Amino acid sequence: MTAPASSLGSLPGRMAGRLDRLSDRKFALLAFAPGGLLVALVVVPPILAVLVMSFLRIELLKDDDIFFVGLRNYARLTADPNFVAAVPRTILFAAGAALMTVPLALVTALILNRPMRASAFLGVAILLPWAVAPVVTGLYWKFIFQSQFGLATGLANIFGFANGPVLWLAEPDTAIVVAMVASAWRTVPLMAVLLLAALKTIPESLYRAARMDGSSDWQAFRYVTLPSIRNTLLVVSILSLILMLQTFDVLFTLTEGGPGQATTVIIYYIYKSTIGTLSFGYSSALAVFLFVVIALASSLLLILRLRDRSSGAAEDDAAVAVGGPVRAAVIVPPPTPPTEVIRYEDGPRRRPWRVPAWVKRLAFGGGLALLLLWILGPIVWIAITSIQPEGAVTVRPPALTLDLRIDRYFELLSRPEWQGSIVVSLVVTVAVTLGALVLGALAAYPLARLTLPGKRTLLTVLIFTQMVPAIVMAIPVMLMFRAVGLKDTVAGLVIVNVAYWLPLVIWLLRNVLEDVPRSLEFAARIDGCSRLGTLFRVLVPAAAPGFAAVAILLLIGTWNEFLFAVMLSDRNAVTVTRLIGFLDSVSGPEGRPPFTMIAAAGIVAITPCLVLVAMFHRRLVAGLTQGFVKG
Amino acid sequence: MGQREVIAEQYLQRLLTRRQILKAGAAAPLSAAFLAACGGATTSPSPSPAASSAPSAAASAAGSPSPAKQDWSGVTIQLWSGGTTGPPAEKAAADWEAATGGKAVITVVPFAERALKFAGLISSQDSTVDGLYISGDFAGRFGDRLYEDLDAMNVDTSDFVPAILPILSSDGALRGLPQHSEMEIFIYNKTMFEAAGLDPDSPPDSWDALYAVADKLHDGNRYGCAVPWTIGYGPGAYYLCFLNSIPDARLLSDDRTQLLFDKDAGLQAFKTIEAGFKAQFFDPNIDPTVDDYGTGKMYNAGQTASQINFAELWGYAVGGDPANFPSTLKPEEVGATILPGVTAGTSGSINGFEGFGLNKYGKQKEATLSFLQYMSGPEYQKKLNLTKVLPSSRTSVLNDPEVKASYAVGEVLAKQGGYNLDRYAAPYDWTPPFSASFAKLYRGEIAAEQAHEETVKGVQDIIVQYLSS
Repeated sequence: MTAPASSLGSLPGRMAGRLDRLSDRKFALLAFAPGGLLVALVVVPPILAVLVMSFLRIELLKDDDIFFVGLRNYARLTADPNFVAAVPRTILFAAGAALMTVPLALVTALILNRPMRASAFLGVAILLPWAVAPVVTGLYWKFIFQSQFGLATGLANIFGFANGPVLWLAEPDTAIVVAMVASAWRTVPLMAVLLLAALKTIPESLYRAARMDGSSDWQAFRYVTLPSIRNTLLVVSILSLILMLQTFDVLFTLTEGGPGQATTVIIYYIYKSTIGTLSFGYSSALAVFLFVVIALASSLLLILRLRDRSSGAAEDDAAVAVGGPVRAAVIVPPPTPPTEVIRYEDGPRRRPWRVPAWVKRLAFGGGLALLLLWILGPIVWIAITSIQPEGAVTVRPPALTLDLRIDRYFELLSRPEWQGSIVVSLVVTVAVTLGALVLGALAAYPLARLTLPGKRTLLTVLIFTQMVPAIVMAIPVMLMFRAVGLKDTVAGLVIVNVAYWLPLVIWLLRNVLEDVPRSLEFAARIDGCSRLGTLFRVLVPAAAPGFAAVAILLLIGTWNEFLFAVMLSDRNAVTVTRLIGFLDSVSGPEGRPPFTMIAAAGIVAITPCLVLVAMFHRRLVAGLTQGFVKG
Repeated sequence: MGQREVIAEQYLQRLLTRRQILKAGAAAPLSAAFLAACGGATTSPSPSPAASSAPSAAASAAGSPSPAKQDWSGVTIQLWSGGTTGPPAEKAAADWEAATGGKAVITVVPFAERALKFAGLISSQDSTVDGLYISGDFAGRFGDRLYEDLDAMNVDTSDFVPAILPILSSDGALRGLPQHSEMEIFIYNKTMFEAAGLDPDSPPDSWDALYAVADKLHDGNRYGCAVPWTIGYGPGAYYLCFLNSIPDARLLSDDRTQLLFDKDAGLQAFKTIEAGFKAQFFDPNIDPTVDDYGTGKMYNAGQTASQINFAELWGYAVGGDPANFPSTLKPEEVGATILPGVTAGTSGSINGFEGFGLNKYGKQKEATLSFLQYMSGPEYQKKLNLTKVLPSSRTSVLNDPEVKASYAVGEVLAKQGGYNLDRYAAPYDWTPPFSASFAKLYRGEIAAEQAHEETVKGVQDIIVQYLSS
């Protein structure tokens, strides 16, 4: 490899030389500084503000008086019947949604793990729900469970489960189940990718051995697959619980915490307390409580990961010895020795009953069809709705016609506000992605490559910043940005998004960079490449799949961002996700716009993300598993 | 309490200003400096104390006879509107701009975001917005924390529909000027009522009288009366139409710290609703989640003999928007009157008033008040009523012969507006107990007495919780 010092990119040679002469610690500090400073200035103050406010009495709907109340806000938690009622509801919601998510994710991963002709299509399809913005997800499911003419209502009537309207979202029992379904729908793809990564680490030799021992498919699954992915399943379960505890946007558009308080989980109660009554002190105490719960769950996750890593060292060695593609996919906990198979061998030999091949194919086909229906059904239905006459989809059961109305799309896209918002969303999304990648790479490099004191603590702190409920930080962030004149500006949206993405990006990129062989870096340095040159000219290209995955994650996440978009923009920096809210609202004396128009808007809002997923799903899957699971 | 405890208590109760809190956080100035460097802005847009308190400048404008004739050249005012109020406000803005030379920028804040955005305004004492959407709910919730006191500005309110004033007031002061006087009324099918033996031009004025002919109004294919949001969705629910029709049975006290429907009169309202279910005048089979527009469509399709709904839906029934609200009825079949009462001769309803108030932190109060006065003034109100389905907020306009000729329901609104239309907006959410007990009453799981008892207890608990916080 040759990388002469004279070709050090845009960095002047003298400056690069100075950087190279710095000690590891100083270089690490310098590289981490831009990103770290941004996080310290934009993310940390609101978090500290939340902590401080939890000890203050702030009731802005009552008065301007603010005073120190010690732990009284925390004491109030146990005396607040709404909060006390929200706790079991939250457990029910999170556990129920996680219980839906994990098995579905496992089934999805098992299907995706089978070699088949349609695997590319499936790979795209599985990720689509994840690409749909949470606020749009809520909108989709609200439409599907509309009491009079929703698709679910129509199907319930067709199959004889109901006769007339079904009050899915007006009855507490069904509303919370619908909320779980909607949340699970959006979470399953991510969890499935993690499980898929784990499945790919199971050596084929184990299955061959099992087959030679006469095990059936079920026995192979029971005694080889499950033990091998046991830890990942646990990780996925806890991660699902954590994500469900933080689910807000879906509820915001789907149930608004109702009916009554039936879906007012803790995070939604925090929203009500923060925004509804402006009880900032108390809502901060609520947020700290939720943060502690999430932090405990996350700590459990970290412990599991550390345990996996320590036991994974031997596996890594084995993988290196084996060589080949196995290493590339070593992402998840190493396969546990299938002790049960051994037990099976020790037992009396019995010829297992084998399911006929045609039954297997039929079951697989049926399962696949159901899976696709679950994954794609809501998106396809909304797409169909968007091009049907209003009367065709607002009757029970729907009376679809061939009278397709694609003119709605032209109408939407011809509206100046939509054109403007699409430009704003594009600019913000691209700028955030570039900014977060550059700053993230600079900060991740020393964390991945250099031996530094307190590295693990720093990483833990970074990831813990992601656990404070964003809703309670929304107003402190808005106050900060308003104070410096960045409210209602594209720059403001870019800065806040970069800052809030950075901790996760640093974490992911550090894992990505760790995977690049050190020999490459050494070779570049020996050839005279500077530290920064090595990072951007050697390591980044070598880790391109990982960077691409993180980039897509950023693109989709930023495009779909809603909370800061609401709080920081009024008129000049309105993003597309906000326009959905504009449309799904009474908008003049004519009342609410037609459902079909809202559906068209729902499709327009997700199209860029769908395109990204369709184009880059392979890199996304590979990168996500690399970053998330390994990290 | 000992001296140490007193000192400790004083310490705990010591007031901290925002400035002190900011000073305490070392990171905040750093953050501000950094962000300022990014954005280039260094001046704080926080209003000066003078700007946020004294309405003196605006007061002089309020007294002027015709605000549209003032010269506001070069002045731009910013207003945050609701969805319904947006288009009429934009039309009013065009008129006002032509007359005064000023510029009014209307930004629609969607319903779902409105509480979030307004909470942000209070927190930041934002002076960049001058005029703010207001409804009874917002006046009750945000009151003097956000809206300027218009009484102090000598605004002439004598011509507004009477019920508007207490509802757009809070803490004893008017907080906004109404753009329209939308409210729920009783809309019925004259043909069906006549067939049931009722006088189509003078229907009964009590619910009991209507229940008596419920079996003639209701059959397998149509309901006796359709109501939006039968259960749940609190402030929109129709039980207030019953509670509001009983004298002295107000739901909450003016300061929202006392519950007032716990006596016999409140129970009577619950019993009247239960009787309506039993008579099948209100049919439990109607989808209770149908909103006002859905109910209007049912009425237009002849699926119900009557509806409790907003005047806007009367407009659609007589042909206001045939594309979105197709009707099988002839306009002359559509009757409208004030809502019957729990006892004959009384009435009560709920309001849908919307308008605009002045942001108490805003800078352009004088110009904004000029615009609001134009929008709620007789000239534009008449225009609004003649060209749109939205009813005027002025009694004189509703009774204007020209308006009456094209907007027959105006007179009904003027009359209905003389009764209680309060939605009892409060800084706490009192609706869940109502939703829960009415859902059970609606399903026949409990009787009126138990529903009343459960609701009273639930709302009392909420008030206690609020006061203790």
